[in-house]
Amino acid sequence: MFGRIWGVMMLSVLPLCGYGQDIFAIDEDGDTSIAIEEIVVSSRASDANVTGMEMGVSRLDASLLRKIPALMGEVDVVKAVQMMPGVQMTSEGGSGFSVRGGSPDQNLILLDDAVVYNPSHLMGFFSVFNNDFVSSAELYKGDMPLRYGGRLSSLLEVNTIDRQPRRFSGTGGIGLISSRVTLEGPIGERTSWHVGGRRSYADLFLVFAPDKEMRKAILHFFDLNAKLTHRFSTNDVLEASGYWGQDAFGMADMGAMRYGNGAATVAWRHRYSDGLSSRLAFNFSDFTLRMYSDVEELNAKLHNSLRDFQLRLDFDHRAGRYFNLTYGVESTLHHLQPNDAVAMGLGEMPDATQNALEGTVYVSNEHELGSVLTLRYGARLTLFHNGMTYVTAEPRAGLLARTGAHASVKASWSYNTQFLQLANNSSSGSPLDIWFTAGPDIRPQKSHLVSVGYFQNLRNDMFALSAEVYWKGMRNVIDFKDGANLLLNNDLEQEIRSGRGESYGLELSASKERGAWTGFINYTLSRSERTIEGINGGRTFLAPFDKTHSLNLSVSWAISPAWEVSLSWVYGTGNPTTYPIGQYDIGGLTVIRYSDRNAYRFPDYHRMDASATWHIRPYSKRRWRSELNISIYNVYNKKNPWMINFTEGRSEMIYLFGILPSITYNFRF
Amino acid sequence: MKRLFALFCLWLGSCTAPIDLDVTAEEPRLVIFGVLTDTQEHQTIRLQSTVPYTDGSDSYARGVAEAIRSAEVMITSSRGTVYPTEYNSLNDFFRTRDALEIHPGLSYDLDVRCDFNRDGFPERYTATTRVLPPAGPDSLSVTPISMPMMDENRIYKFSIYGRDPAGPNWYIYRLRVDGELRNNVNQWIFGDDGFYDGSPYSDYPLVMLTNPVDEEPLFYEGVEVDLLTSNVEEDFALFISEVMGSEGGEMPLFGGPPYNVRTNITGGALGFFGNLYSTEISAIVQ
Repeated sequence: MFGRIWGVMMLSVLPLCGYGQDIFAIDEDGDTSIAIEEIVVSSRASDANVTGMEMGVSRLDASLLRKIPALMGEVDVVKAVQMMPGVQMTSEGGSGFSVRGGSPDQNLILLDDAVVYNPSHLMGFFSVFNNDFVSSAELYKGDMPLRYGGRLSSLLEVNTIDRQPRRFSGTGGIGLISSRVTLEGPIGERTSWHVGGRRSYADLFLVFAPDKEMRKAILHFFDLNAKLTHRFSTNDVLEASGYWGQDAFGMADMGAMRYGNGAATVAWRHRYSDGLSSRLAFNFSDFTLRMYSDVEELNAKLHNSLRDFQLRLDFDHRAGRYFNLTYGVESTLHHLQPNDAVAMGLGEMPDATQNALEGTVYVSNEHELGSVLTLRYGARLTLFHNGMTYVTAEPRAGLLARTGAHASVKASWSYNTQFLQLANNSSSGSPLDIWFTAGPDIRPQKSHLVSVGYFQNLRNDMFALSAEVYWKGMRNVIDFKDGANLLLNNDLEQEIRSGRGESYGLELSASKERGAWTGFINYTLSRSERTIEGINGGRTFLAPFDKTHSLNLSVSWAISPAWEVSLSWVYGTGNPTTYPIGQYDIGGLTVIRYSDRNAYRFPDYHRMDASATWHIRPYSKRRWRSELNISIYNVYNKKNPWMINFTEGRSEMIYLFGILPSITYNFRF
Repeated sequence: MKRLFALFCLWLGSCTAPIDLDVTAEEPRLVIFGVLTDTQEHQTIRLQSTVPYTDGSDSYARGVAEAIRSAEVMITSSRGTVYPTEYNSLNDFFRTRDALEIHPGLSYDLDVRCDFNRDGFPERYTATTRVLPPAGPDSLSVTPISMPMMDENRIYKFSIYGRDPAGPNWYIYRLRVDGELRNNVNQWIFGDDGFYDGSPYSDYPLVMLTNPVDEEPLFYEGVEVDLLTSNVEEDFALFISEVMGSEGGEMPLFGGPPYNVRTNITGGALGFFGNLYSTEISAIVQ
């Protein structure tokens, strides 16, 4: 459409919204073409997927996220992650995800280095990440960098914006569910600031509800992000970032549930020389749930919280071809305060506050063996203490073999340990879920992950292809006994059963990242099983998020400077489930006989989403730029079951979303 | 919580639709259910077969399924007294020939011989129930409370007072309202002493009940309510709890995977053999 673009000229006289510069493409005749909406400047090489050591990594930048049609117009990094190979959503529309057959609590989710324990709003339908404040996200499916650990399945590293604005500017949007705004600017030459906020407003329309009682409903969520960066010199940078978000549900004169995350990071980056740099950081994480009942005679309060205080020091040290070291130390205090409850007539629940200390040292080296082979190896040594002490070593190793200018074969092995887990017995998470630590009767979960892959880029890295196979063996994976009581239970160890797990699969991926047409197609063939004494009679059963086939497709077409359309289609084998196979009567009540655990499957899941974006006045030289996004979720109105009810001999499914159009107005200045 | 969930589903615009399940029915299993009581009366044991779970067929729930009539059913107390039973075609029960009243400290064995698999040889199914010492509240109050979104006085709070014996206890409560015992399993109330184990308790909210819709009110000012409390074995209490929660399937937000209800019957049968030895307290609805 533009001909072969052979040059890019950056003209600072015409500011591009949000990025401070407009970018014009010049075709081969030397004529200035039209303004490119944006350009991604990255420190990462375009062939890093081939030349880098990492395996099982999916990288998502903000521009890619915006191209994927979004549920209710809310662009969401977690929904995009769910379309990556080897990743499954745990329930329709939810923010939980399973990586290579693992459970959602086996994912380490970081926002600028601080752990986010509950990454969801509205019972999981939206994630806590405001896309305007996100610069990129990286998902490591098990073979994570050695500086991180503590989870078996994955690391999702979400990075907030880190650009240096040259003037006051902003981005924002007005949607059907929420609106958001992000502002940024400089303070002098060396300091920059960013603040962002987002709030839903379904509750604002409740004042028009015909039912007077409904007008008292509390139903909203909000996010606040802030970041301050000061560059003392080219060698010293101080960063401080924070996040606070909350959800609220309830009725004004009955009671409510409020829950949310807090996260904060203060980091000092220092460069000693060209080959040696460090990062000293203090990270704070908080997840708190508060519930209260105001009803006369039924006053009650519940407070659950989990707080992490972490100090870490990381070094990057390059000393020639044979030593490309990363090493560091971290120490984390986990402060857990579950089930702090008091109720009229019931009294107080016993104090179950718990503190756990986790300390880690790690070292990793990467060195080249000639021009073809690169080796990476290292280990983490972790001490975990919460009255009982566990010491674990987690070795990891990888090998890269260049098989051509744009192709490589990689292999990796990693051993991971997890000390915290979630008391969640349902297929979608709830804010009532409680994190708890390993202890005398709950041993840390451990896993081995082995993967081998082939990576190939084509047409000057325009197309990226990959094929990976993996096997993951897990020990001490937990599940909950039949009918487990996880609510307000300070004796969770009695409800837990542990055993073995195994996952294996093939992941194929193809993507095109540049040009008018962009997109990706990801296919996963996998199997994930559990064998746990006391569950399903000790017989092996399918893991809750096992999917034999999973196919995710997303394609975007920039028709013109003014119009862009996107389409995505997801298909997956239905989730394993347990169906009724008989019934009998006890005292007038029908009792259902169920099959073995997860012996059946839900119907296959598939859904198509589409969106069209109109960039209003793309040639305008005004600072204010805007666009209108119209998206349709579930275009062909597929009724995908979210749950199935069995009542009086009938089976009935509940599906959450039929065809769901939405419209969002986005702006930049 | 359910109200919040309903509000949430409403907000999402979620819908329901019938779904056909392609499942293989389980082979029929024998179901034995009997609960001995402290009333001097003919005690009953019911033998039935499971039936397939088929879409649209709720015939079994309405009692159409064939009862098992051909069996030898016998109860023996730990004192050695044997209580033979006979089939009562009127109610499809096996009924003790003599009246039987259970006593704390004793245990009772159930012995069933039945050729359920029709191979010409009877299989043997057994179970034991132990009568625990009586325990429970010493007084009760029933007060109407007002709650937003509900009509005035439609919810009645049943509060209990007393001192709990040390150690975990499991209780099944039944109500007698205006002289009529509410004795269907779905009218029983299940509870434990997790909140007040071994301690005195006061104004403990046992249950909230509403009057039935479009029927004569059950609870109203001045009516007498009796609370019958049975201190039962954990397995029996949990069996009742599981029976009450059996219907419904999986609830993604708040529930775990569905599971089969426990049994204390040996030999591969389902159901339960339990007992209810009750203490009784009364209150006048305010």
